[in-house]
Amino acid sequence: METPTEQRAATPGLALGVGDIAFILLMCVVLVSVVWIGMLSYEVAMKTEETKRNGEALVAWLSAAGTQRFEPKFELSACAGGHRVAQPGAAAQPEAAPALDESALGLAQERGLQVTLHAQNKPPARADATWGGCVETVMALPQFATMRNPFSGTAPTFVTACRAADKRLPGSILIEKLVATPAGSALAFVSSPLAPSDSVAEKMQLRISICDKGSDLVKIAEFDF
Amino acid sequence: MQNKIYISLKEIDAKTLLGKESERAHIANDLPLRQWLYAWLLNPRIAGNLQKTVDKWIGLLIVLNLGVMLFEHVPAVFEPYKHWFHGFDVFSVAVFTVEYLLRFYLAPEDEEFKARKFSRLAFVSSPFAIIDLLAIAPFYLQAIIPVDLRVLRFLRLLRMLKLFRIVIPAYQQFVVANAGRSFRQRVHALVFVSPYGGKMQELFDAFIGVFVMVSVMAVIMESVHSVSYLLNPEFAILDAVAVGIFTLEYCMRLYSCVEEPGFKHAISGRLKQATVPATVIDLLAIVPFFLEVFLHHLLDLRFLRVFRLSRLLKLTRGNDASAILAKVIKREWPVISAAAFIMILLVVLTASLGYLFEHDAQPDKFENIPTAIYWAVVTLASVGYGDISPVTVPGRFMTVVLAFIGIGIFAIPAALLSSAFSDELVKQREALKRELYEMMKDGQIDAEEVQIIRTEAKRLHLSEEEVNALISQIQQKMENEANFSQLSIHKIAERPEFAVEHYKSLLGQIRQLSILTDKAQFQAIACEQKGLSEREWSLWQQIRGPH
Repeated sequence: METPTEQRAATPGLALGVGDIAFILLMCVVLVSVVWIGMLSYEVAMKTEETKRNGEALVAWLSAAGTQRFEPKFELSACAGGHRVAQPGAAAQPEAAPALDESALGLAQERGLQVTLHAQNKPPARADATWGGCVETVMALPQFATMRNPFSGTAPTFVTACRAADKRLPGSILIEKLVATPAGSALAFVSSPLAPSDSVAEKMQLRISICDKGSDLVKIAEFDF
Repeated sequence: MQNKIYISLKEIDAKTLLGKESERAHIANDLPLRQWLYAWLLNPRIAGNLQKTVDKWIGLLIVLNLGVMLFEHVPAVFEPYKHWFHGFDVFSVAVFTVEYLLRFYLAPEDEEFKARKFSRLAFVSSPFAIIDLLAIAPFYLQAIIPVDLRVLRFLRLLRMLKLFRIVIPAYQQFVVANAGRSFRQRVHALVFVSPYGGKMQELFDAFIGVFVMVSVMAVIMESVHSVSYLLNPEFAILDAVAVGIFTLEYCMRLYSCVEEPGFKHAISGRLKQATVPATVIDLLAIVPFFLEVFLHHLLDLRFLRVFRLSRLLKLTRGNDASAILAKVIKREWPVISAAAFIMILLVVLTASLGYLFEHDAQPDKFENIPTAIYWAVVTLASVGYGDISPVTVPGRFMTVVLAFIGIGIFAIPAALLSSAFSDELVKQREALKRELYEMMKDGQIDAEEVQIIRTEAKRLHLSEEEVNALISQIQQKMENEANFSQLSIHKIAERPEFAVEHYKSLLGQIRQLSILTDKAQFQAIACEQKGLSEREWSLWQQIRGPH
């Protein structure tokens, strides 16, 4: 870069020196970089949008099902409400097993529940429909079979929490059960992640959220199921 | 160079000095309607008329139109409020149409067109008028022929061109002021305050300021779930645009800072500029954007997003209050640090005593001294959340004593800062008074001096009354100087012309004395009783003259 000179005040025209041209070039490089980074940032924002659309599609289906699943003619028995007599092996066999992450499985096991992964082709014998079976059935439906996590390009993962420290979670979906607390409590309700073996026999209030690029939680909606 | 315009000292008052002498334009009411309207609404040469106000509101409406056009592209925002959007569009077009028709009607009064044979035709074919017409034409066009909504929206973007009415005159002024100057000097004139920047530099600062406000508002609104849920991609675009602008500004400052006094060297000057607090703030405003992309796997993005709020600090560049505060803290640092030391001492002692008295009674709350420090600070600062409180008698007694001490000790830094801040303002006002005095010494103030006074008065937030009071004080002081009897002899001696006048005045007084006093008695005391020496008596006789 050239040194400043007071005499330059008398120079006619713009008098572009080597330093000035270098600066203009640097500015161009900087601008191109900002545009490039801006485009990357926009792409990420669009991926988050796509994840939100995934979550919204699930909200739309589950909330619609929530109004019908207690009726006898409800077709998807894996998600049907109400208590039934145990019929071993009667649970619906999904065509494609969705990815239930290890933490969801661990949570269920922590609660002392007997959980068997469908990946082993051994559906649990159960009396009532369970959350795991319901999700598997729903995700096997044509409108959800093509659903992808835009961040990873794989099928959406259902997780128990969005943790900023875990960078594998962007694009994941979190479904929680909301339980109302007694009147007078500081919190109106408490939330807990649904384990695959949780029964869906009763009416539930659910909350669907997604994990964004930073694995931070973005709430989609709360609804009755 | 500015022409010297002198204001006589006798005519000086705050209104003249602060440029408020024509707060209301003097426009005759008996003018023909067209002339009268032009004089009030559009004539840029009449100070105090409504021309600047009209320009300001039209400019604001254009910027609002841009914001509204952006939101129109978000269906989630547009759909529920489309009637409001349409209403705003109708209102904008109505205002722009009235403006266009007014300019058309008043064109024969405009200096630019009045000399032409067909002044209104000349107006219609002028670039600004074409831009004005383009801004409103699409609205009327859609009423006549069906136009695709997307095309219509694109055409409405032409309203932005109306901003050229403000930018082009400023640019022309900038080009004239910087004729013959180098590229770097022009960049410097644009980004730094200098005599060459003019209106263009003000517009540049305003543009950066608006973007700072918009991007800070965006960061704040991003934390509102319902808003960020709808506008996430728009926020990403806005952030990229804002960072692009701030990055350019940062580079331009570093590039052209060598034109600033004290930053002349090509490398060390720029390094010095890079470490100036305002430039560090500029860097902090753009860094999170780059970190978010490259280091998102290492850093918490929520922290980086909130860190973008540091952009607000960019506004301190044009604000003097932060500089005064920094100066005050620097000046009072020895006292503040002493107070801080006492505070730390008190906090540690309080925490230790709290732990000593309360640990056995409440081991969960006063688990250790670091935990007790939280309680000590909350107590001494009179915050008193109440989540931890002493239960033992010695603990409570100690709390009572320490609460009283805390009120005094914790208030010291606040009191120090507030008094030092006020002192600094008084000092600066005194400096302005001295400056005013120096300027007024010659009995006149030129345009350059008026500008300095205006800037200083604005910086120190002096009202018209305060400036008037200053002027009165100085005028009083100057009148006193003119009255020699009020001045000490060494003050008179400093100025020979005063000394001569004073000498003449003394001689006159001696002559007056010789006439009024009893001559016989004076001579008896002076000569016979040796009241005066011979030399003094001779001098007396010479001054008195023959009777």
